[in-house]
Amino acid sequence: MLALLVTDSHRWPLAARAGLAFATGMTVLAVVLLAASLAGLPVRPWVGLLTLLVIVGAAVYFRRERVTRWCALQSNVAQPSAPTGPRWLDWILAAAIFVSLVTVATTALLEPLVEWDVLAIWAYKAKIFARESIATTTYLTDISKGYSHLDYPVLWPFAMSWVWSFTGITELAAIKLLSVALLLALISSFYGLLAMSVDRTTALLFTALLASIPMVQNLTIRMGADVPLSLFLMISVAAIADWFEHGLASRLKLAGLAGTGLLLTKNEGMAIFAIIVATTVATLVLTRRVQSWRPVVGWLLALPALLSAPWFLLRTTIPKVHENMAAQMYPSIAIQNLDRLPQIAALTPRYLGSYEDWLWVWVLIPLVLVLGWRSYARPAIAFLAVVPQLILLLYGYVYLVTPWDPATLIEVSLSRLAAHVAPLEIFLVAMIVGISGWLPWQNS
Amino acid sequence: MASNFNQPLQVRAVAGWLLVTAIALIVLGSLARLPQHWRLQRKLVGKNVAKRGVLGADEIQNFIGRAGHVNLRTKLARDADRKRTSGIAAVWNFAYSGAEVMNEDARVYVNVRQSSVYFFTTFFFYPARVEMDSGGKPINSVESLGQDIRLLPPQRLGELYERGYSHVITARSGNQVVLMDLRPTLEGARP
Repeated sequence: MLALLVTDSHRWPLAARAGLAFATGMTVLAVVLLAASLAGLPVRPWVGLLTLLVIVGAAVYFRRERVTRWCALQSNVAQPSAPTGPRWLDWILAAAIFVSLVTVATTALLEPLVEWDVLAIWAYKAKIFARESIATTTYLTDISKGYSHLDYPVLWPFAMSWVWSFTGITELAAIKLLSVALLLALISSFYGLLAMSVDRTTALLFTALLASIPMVQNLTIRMGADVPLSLFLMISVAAIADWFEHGLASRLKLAGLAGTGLLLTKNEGMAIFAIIVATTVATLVLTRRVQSWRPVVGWLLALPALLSAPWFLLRTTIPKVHENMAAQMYPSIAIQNLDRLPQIAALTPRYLGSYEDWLWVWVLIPLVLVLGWRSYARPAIAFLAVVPQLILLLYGYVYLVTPWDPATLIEVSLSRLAAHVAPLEIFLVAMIVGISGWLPWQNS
Repeated sequence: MASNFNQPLQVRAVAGWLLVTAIALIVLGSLARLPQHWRLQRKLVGKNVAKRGVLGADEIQNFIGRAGHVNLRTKLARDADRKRTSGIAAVWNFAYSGAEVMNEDARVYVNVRQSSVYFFTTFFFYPARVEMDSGGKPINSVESLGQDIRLLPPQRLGELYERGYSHVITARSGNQVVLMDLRPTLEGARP
């Protein structure tokens, strides 16, 4: 898929190719399985395998040269010319990442599916899609199962369902292979995307930081849809930032496909995607690059709209049995609830400052964002900086307007929501540090 | 002159190493927390899925279940001296065990007002159908529906078989939740 979409993907680090191949592959798999399910076909192993075969065939037929280079693995990889740190530091950081990943992956594989939300929502949908098609199931209109959020998107359930189509739906341990794959994809995509812009040691340093965060580790182990969402968000925004920096249109193709993943993973994905598109357009206008609107409309708007259209059309037929958050978003409601602000402001540091969940990551991030203000002169960095902060503002606004008790909602959701943007925030911090030359070896 | 010229660079280098040290401390802090994973892994390894699931779902024994829930952690730490059992782990075990004896075409009536029982058995018993009588109202959480969830008194549970149910989940004395097979035995008797 990458070879088909991206002109120079053969020049990307192997880690980037592996992680991004997982993310783009999972998106395409979900789109195909959704189409098959709408046509009356429950999830079957051969549907995914046939999709893979078609994509590989198309890549070999249309992009033979790229595929050949792709298979050459390391030989063509472009390396940033910046000086790297001492070799011993690289080895220590790589060892720290390795130990973290092996430990977390082992826990993930030993612990079967147990998380309340995962069983009640994502895995339940996955079981249904493995036995029934969307065309024939009564589930999507069954309001007695409203707790499972009938209108939640289907990418993650389809990914689980496809794994279950090999093992059987009663298997609760092998399905966790998906969480290990997700963990590896997140870490390798992060490292790979970063290593295209900063030196190896800086990329390893910040990858070690991301791999260290207990909240990200625990959410990945539990297999909710939050980490897939953060993976798609990071890829989409990093790819657009790279487009602002280097102007390669194929980055927008990658961003569009990751954007489709966002739309098909969680309902928050719609708001996040709108923020990404609006910030992209604003950056184009402010940098007087409006003439570049064509690839933006084609790849960042039309592609996700086309690929996710079947889901959104289906969604209109699904009964809404939960509070309508869109109707809660009016400023008048926010003004009525302004007295909640001190409570939200007091609770937020309690959760983001929790050492057990985040260590000191949410202290480091704002510090670097403030100290690195000069980097915002570069449109790519400004874009990278604005998107996650707008998402955090949106989440804060939701606590202001929610009909629920904000303290209760914050207890069950704030850390999960912060995990959506954490990889992107660390990516941004790494880019600021990388281009500002703050690290000792960058001045050598 | 030379020292004045180098001063900003030296300050910058010191600041750079400070940043590296800060990140290294965070990474070390994370590595120092890995032994809790290893202790959990030692408890999980060699056990069957049922036992691993009970331990996994137990937010009191398993730190992963408490992730992000600051109030829950504070509460558990405050009551550390009180012997507590995890309700979620008990329901996970109940639903998992029930699924092992459940037929695909079974139809189960949930006669307890407890979200976790309804949600977990719906997942674990699938494709068997698990139902509650909410009077046609959407079930987002069982507790929030209160009296709208209709429960049958014990003496009327037998009616459920005539209504097409093969099993019922109900509470016995001491609030113990049990799964009962309503189908007639070979001798024609029903529980």
